[in-house]
Amino acid sequence: MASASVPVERADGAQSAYAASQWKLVWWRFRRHKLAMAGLAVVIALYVVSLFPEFLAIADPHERNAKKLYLSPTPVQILDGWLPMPFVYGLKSERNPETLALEFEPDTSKKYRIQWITRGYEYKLFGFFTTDWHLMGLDTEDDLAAFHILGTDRMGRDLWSRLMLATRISMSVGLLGVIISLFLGILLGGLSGYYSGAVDVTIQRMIEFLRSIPTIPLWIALAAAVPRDWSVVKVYFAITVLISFIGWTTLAREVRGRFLVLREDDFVIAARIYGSGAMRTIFRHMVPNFISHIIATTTLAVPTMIIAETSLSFLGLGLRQPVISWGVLLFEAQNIRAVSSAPWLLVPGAFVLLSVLAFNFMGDGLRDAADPYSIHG
Amino acid sequence: MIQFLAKRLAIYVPMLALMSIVSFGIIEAPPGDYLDDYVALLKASGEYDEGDAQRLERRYGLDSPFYVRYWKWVSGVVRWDLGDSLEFRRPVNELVNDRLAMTVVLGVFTVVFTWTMAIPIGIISAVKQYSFIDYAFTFLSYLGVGTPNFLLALVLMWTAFSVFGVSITGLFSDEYIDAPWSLGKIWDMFTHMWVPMLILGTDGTARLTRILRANLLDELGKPYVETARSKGLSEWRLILKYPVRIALNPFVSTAGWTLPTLFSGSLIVAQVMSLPTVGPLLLKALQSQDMYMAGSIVLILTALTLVGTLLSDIVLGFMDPRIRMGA
Amino acid sequence: MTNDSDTLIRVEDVRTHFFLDEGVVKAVDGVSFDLARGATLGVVGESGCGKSVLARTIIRIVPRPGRTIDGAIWYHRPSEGGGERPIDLASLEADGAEIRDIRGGEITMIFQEPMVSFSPVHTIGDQIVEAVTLHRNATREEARAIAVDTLRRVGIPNAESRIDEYPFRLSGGMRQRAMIAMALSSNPTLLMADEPTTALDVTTQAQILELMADLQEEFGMAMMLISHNLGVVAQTTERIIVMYLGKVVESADVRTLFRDPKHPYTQELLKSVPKLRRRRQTERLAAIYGSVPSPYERPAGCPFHPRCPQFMAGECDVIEPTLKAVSEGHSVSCLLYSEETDS
Repeated sequence: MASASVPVERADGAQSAYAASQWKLVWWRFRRHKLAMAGLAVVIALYVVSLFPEFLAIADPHERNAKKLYLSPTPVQILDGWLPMPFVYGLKSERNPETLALEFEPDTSKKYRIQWITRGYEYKLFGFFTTDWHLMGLDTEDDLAAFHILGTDRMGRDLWSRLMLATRISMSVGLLGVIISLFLGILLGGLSGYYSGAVDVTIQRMIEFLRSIPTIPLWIALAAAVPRDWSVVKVYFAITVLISFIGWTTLAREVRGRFLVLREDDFVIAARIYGSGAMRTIFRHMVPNFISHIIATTTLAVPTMIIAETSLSFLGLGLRQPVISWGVLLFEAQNIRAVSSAPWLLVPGAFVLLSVLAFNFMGDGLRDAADPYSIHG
Repeated sequence: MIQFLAKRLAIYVPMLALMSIVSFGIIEAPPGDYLDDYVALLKASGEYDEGDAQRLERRYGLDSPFYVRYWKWVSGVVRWDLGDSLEFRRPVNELVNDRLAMTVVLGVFTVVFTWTMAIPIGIISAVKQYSFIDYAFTFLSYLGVGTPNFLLALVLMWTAFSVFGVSITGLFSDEYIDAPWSLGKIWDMFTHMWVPMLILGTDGTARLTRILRANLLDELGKPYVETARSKGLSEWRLILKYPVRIALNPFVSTAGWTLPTLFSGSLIVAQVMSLPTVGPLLLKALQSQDMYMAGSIVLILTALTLVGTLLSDIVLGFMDPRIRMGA
Repeated sequence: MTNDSDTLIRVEDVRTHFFLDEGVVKAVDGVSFDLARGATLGVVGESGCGKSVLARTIIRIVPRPGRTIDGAIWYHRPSEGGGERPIDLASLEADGAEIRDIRGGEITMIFQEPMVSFSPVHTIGDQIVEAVTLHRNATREEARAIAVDTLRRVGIPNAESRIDEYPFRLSGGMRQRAMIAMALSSNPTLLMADEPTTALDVTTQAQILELMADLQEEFGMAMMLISHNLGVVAQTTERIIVMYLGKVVESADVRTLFRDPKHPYTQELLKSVPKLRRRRQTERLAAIYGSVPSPYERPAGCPFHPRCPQFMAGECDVIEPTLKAVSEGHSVSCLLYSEETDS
């Protein structure tokens, strides 16, 4: 049989597919989504920034400079002649004869070369190791040598450096919030789906209740109730917990739905018949079966957290100075006149958008990869 | 149908009661005594009057146990007696009435806008799946969902200000802000309304487009579509009559869920664009710890949301006989 | 093309392929057959053999990404004057006015799943009246009267009130009756039924089959019954074509096919039909060896050869057989018989 080799080959291929673990299958399918892969790359990049924000910062993000208020982004010259050695020009300040405001112009007579892996302000890496190494900086103390990639704010603080630190806070609020949500969601959704009956009805009513109230008015009200004299760390956790309360309902619904389907599945019934207890059945037999869906839903919940934090802080009700988050930075952009004279204040918004899109793309890709048969929009 | 609505009401009424307790919790949450603050404020402004304090004391039962305080407050809200604002020193309902009307008008317009945009876009995206137009709309909807609407508001305002030199804040031109209601004022409001409507509607449009597209894709593969096609109906007519109609059902039932999001979103956008809605008022109340006003506004917003949800239940009942007949 | 006035439909070498990312699925691959006016035809084959796609090809409702790429479907359309005019359905625009006039009017179709083949949010009446007004010159009242009448004729009790019911209030059997009523309401010349009884329980199955046979006689239309079940088809039709992987492998009238099946596939199919007069209780139903191969990898030569008990190495896996007549009205596509006719 000449053609008999064809089905045999196919069977072999199929066998290697069956032999691959579920994770490998999900990963193979995920890899096919180009947008999802791009999302993953951006998310990884943002978390790398969150690990070493001070290293990436150029100047102390809290350092004010009354002479450099609303300084526009420094034009970085990439090529020096033909050599790729980036440098910036110095500044010369002039008083505008009409408005009497101090205006800056590049002083092309002075060149400052950008130094890579250099020393700058002192900080504590991971909160432990005191160091002063930074990715880049200028090797000068000259006050007219300005290296502000994204300009400065109304207090003359370097926006790029602040943005690096804000990335850590905002991304970690998203992550921490989602972990709390996930815990609540799996616990309550799982109980709801596993026991059904009165437990289910109660939890479902609670979810319905939480979903039908306008969240932001309630949450800003609760955020406003956070005492002003609390320490920075306390406020950070209070706000994160508040935000996580928004997200858990979606997760709980997802978990419950999965549970309802799985509960009737043969292998779960078998586990029960063989005397496996409730918690053991849930965590040993049921959770592994929909963990990929949970991860997808969780990924899709992170943007909600990030937007919530940003919104609260933007209103001045979430995180507050001296904590820096994307929302805290955008708080500076509330005044439209400030924005029109210093549009770079909107750059943190671009980071919000970028992270939200990245998580959405990644989450959609994960969801499709976890469940190739469902159609999602 | 009556039975169905009664069932829904049986859920919403306790929900509202529960929410009133939560709102009351908000009022009681900040540390410190409301009356002390008020007295301090009055003393500072030199208008202190012993009678004022006593009147307040009676009004809110501030020395009574909490359930008496709760009852006094909540029965006041029901009678639309919202007490006085500590910040503005005026009765709260005077402050709230106009702004509430604005909030509702803006909300209704945004929902209408959202639907008129989302339905055709969703249908075209699903029917022309994987076409250029589908990809374009999908990309836009990702962008729409991804952009926090206050950010969109900021960017639009900045663009309008720096490119065209116009300010797109508020809902009225300067000459109409304090003017009594007239045809001119209403027209003026409409000319200002579309910007906030666009901003508020973007997120909802994007979400609903995606939901409708997914629903419709599910429905397009169902056998009843093929039956309709085998009858000799033209493609567009059959799509509009059958699958679209059915794909819209979950759409209508989730329309209730869009209201909380809408009111939530409008709050921040209203603050950024200084719209005369209740949002900025609530923020102001919270910032100045004027908690009675804040709690009342939260409760009113919740009630509005539930009314909206109930309306969408009614529409759904009319659209889907399975629900109407309790199947 | 033919001038035989008796012919209603002549299908000539029709090919409908599905163009998927994974490859091309040749669902219908060169099928030809004739159907006379008022005649009945059964189409039999395992799932995936292309029988359903064949029916959809005829009324041009093949879903994307399927396309009819070749062949002709000559439909002898009755014209106003009393004569007829042959039209090639395959050459018409799939969503054009002419095919839509024929589809649902002169050629109608019944589907497998009565539970989901009606829109759940429109009444049965609404959906039948729509079909009537589309194809008959009738006002809404007249259309409604026609609908009630047809519902009565398919055996739905209280048709006047049942017409305003939503589908979810009817049982499966009743729904399939309503489906038949919808297909009959426009007085078709050809009724195609795609597995009309598969989703029903056995008692209802028998009732529906009987009803269809009665109605076919009463209305005098041609009928094409598609089923995986030879028994169902034998009960209701005069001629049968057997399909395998998009091709017709055997075509004969019912008696000949049952008495003298030529193609090994037909023989195997017949063995899998339960018989009442079984010689011994212990005799087991035979299942066909193997399963239908992946649609993307059609075997070379005769598509049935990997499963064929009479496989001839060097021939069946190399030469592709064609449909040849073995006797009057009986043709088969198998190399076992090619010498007899060729040489």
